[in-house]
Amino acid sequence: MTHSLDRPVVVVNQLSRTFDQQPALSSVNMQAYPGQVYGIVGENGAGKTTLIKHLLGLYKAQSGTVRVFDKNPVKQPEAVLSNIGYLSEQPDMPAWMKISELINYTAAFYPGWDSSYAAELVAMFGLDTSLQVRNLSKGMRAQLGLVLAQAHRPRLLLLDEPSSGLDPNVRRDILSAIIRTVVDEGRSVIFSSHLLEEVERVSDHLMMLRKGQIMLSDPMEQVLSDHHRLTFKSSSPPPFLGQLDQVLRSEALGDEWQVDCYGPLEALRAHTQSAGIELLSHHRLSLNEIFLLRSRSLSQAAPSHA
Amino acid sequence: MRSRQIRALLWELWARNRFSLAATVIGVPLLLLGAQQIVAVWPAFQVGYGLIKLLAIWSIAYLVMIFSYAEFSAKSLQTGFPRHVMKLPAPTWLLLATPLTVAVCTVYSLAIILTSLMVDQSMSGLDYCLFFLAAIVAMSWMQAINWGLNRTPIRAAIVVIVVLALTGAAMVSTLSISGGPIMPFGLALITLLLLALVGVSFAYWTLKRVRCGQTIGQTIFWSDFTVPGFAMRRLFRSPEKAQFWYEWRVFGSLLPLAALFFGALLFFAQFLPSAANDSINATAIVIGMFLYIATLAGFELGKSHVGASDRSMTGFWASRPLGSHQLAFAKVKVAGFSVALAWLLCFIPLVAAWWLTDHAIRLNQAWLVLRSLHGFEGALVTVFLAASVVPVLAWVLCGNSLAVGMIGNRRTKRTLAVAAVATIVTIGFAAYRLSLIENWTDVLLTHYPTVFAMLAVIVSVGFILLLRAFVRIAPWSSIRSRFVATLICAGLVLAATSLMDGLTHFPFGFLSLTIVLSLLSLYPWLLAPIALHNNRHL
Amino acid sequence: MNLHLNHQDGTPVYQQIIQQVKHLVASGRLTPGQEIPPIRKLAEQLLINPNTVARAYRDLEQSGWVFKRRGAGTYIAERCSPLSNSEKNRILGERASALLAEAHQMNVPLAEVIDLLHQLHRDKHSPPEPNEDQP
Repeated sequence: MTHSLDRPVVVVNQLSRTFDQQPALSSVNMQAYPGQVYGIVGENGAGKTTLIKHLLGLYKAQSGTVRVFDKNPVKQPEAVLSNIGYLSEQPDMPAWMKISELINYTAAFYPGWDSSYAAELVAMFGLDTSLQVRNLSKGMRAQLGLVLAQAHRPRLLLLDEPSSGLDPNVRRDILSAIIRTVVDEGRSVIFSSHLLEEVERVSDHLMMLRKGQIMLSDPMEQVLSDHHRLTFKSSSPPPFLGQLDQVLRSEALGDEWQVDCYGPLEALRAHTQSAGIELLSHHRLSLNEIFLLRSRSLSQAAPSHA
Repeated sequence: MRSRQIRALLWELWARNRFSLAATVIGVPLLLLGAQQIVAVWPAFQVGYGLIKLLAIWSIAYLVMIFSYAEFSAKSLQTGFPRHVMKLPAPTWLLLATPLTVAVCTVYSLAIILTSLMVDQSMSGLDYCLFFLAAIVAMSWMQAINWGLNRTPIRAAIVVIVVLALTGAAMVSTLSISGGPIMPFGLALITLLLLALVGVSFAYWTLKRVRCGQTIGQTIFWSDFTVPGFAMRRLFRSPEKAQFWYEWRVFGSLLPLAALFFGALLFFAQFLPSAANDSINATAIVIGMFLYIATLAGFELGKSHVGASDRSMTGFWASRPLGSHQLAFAKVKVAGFSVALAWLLCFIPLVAAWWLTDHAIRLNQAWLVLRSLHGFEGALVTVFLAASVVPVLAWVLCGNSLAVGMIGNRRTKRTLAVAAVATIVTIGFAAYRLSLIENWTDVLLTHYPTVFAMLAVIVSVGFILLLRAFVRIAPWSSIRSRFVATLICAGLVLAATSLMDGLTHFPFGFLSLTIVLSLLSLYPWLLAPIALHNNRHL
Repeated sequence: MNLHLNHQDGTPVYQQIIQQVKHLVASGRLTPGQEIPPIRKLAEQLLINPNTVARAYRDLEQSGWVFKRRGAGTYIAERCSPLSNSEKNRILGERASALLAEAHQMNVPLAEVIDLLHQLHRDKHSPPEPNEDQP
């Protein structure tokens, strides 16, 4: 459902940001298209929240440009924010409001607010609208946040680590909100998470950030199919290692040599055959393994697509 | 075992507020003593001495607030007993008694020291006793409120007003330094004693319940009010209205509540049976307090959460799909309504007190004198001016400090603070230097048209610069109607001043003053959106 | 259609869908001509990206397991197509080569392996008797 011909929903170009001389984002590029689920992963402090706040216009680009729906979120906050549904890890909703008040209050700001949809979601989550926000559990807050983020059927759903610290039921609600959004033609989701399994199952595109730099930004399918772990019958590094684009790790295990790399399988096979080295085993890496490997290998390999 | 626990609790009390405690307990009496010495040498400093007296009275209230031993939670927007202390293996009475005893002793000593410094008359033994009881009342009720009763401002306000009224009545009518007994000593003592006892047991009860996770507010008072459906549809019929409702619910009660407090003080001050001048002085002091509180409330209004020290915007607020100017206007509007309401709440008790005391006769005489001097219209205008300049000034202070409070950037705020301090120091120094040559008040009196004219020019240039910055972030049409409304309000002052015979004597000066005030009252509409825009898009 | 996805092992989700649909067809729980859920519905049910489901359906369609009726949905195709035979051969071939590798490792000759298979087949299709034989 990726419409590469459509205009992108979000375009970030060479975005850099520093906080007190500490780089938080450096030369980040990103393009998200309608109908796409864009997953952002990275360690704590990798710059995920900073990037998402730029999309909301809560940060002004120090260098580079940010465009959401072809508009600058700093120049036209009204037009951009009214088409975004936003949910953060700790939704900072006013504690003194009752759920009914909060829903009606929020409805006043969005022209496309669908009251019946909001009521449907509230009933689905089993929220008691006479409760005050301060008396809600973390899971209920997240569910309420989902109601507020979805009921105006936004063109873009922005979720900043929505699932952190939540029970499986609420995590399921969040995932189904993501799926429901993209199933509707043309709406997109950008979300950041630590839970790689969730990212793997719902994302079309994966962006991996580390210390404000993009480690990897490729279609999810490609990321999963082109990360390989190869074991060779060889006691020294295979001679073609230098010719491979991205070797993430290579080390000796007794008289075998194990190599983790990123690239199309055909090219690898060709190299192995021409060098005449026996390939003992080959298997694909899971997203968890890829994440751990990429987080560790920054010093060894150059970041991709920087 | 217990003594170690007590020592640890005492240390925490001290370490939590060491700077403010040292400044209040040691700094304020020293400042007062110093000011007295200066006044003895240089009588013109009387104005400064008055201000320091004001600060001294304020410092007692501040001490009570410090010792109410509360922790503010920005998440639930409530103060409460510090959570980590509640988890300590110590009995509840100890947790209550330690801060209460220390607080009562400190507040009592500070009150005694300050009173003996400020009041010439010596205090009787009964006065000492009354002061002690009042300290217990103040501390225990403040703690009870902070720990469990503050769930809505209305509840807290009811408790504060009732306790304050009873304490005030008992104190004013029995203290030997305030005149004579109106109420029998016994009755006053019993009132205070009862208040103190109820306060302490209330604080204990609150703490006991809070410790096992219950709030006292719900058990005593009615449950929370919810906006009914039909009203909600009216309230939220446009984004601007919804945002105004939000700001009003969060911040609307701040200034009116403070004004109610000072209104009550003003009310009691009118009953002090001493020289006629004193009630006028008391009125002046309370008006000063009102302006000061309006400024503080303005800073508070600029935040996205009441009481939070963090001035950065919350995501909830910043991600409203409204332009920065619309978000800011909601706050400025709330500030305007707050100032108006607060002024009424201050003004009505004052008039009521005049009516109840013999001031009414004195005021009638003053009115007749004024009428004979300026004619009926002139006199009316003078009264109108006196009543309207204060709220206009309060609006200027509140609105502009709101805008400054909205600036998220620490560096900008630091620069502004340094600039303000530098200006005050320069003016003070210049005044001091001038006073060496001749009487500086005369210099100001003869040259004030020039001073105001300069001010008017500075303010106008600032206005033009702000307007240019504003137009870059929001359309001019968004502010036109608001400008007109504010100008009409300020214009009433303009009309009043121009009709005054002051115009015939100092036409240029009064005109400049009017321009300065009118422009400054327009400032918040421009300044707040600019500040918010910069804070929102960091 | 009841699918169980395993997100822990490295097998891509779309392959899991393909395998499980094939398994359901092979075991007769999905019959030819039966409609399978539309992409959106399956994505919402399994909580996975609709594109993943679309890719699985596309692969299944290309290999002849399912067919699309324009504007009406996706249906299970007739079973004994040559493509599905070759698929069977492929799956069995993978298993057989693993079995042979294991036998080679244990120094068991091919004839014994074939005997074992015969015996297992007989056991399965004759009245059961307690036999804890594990290949």
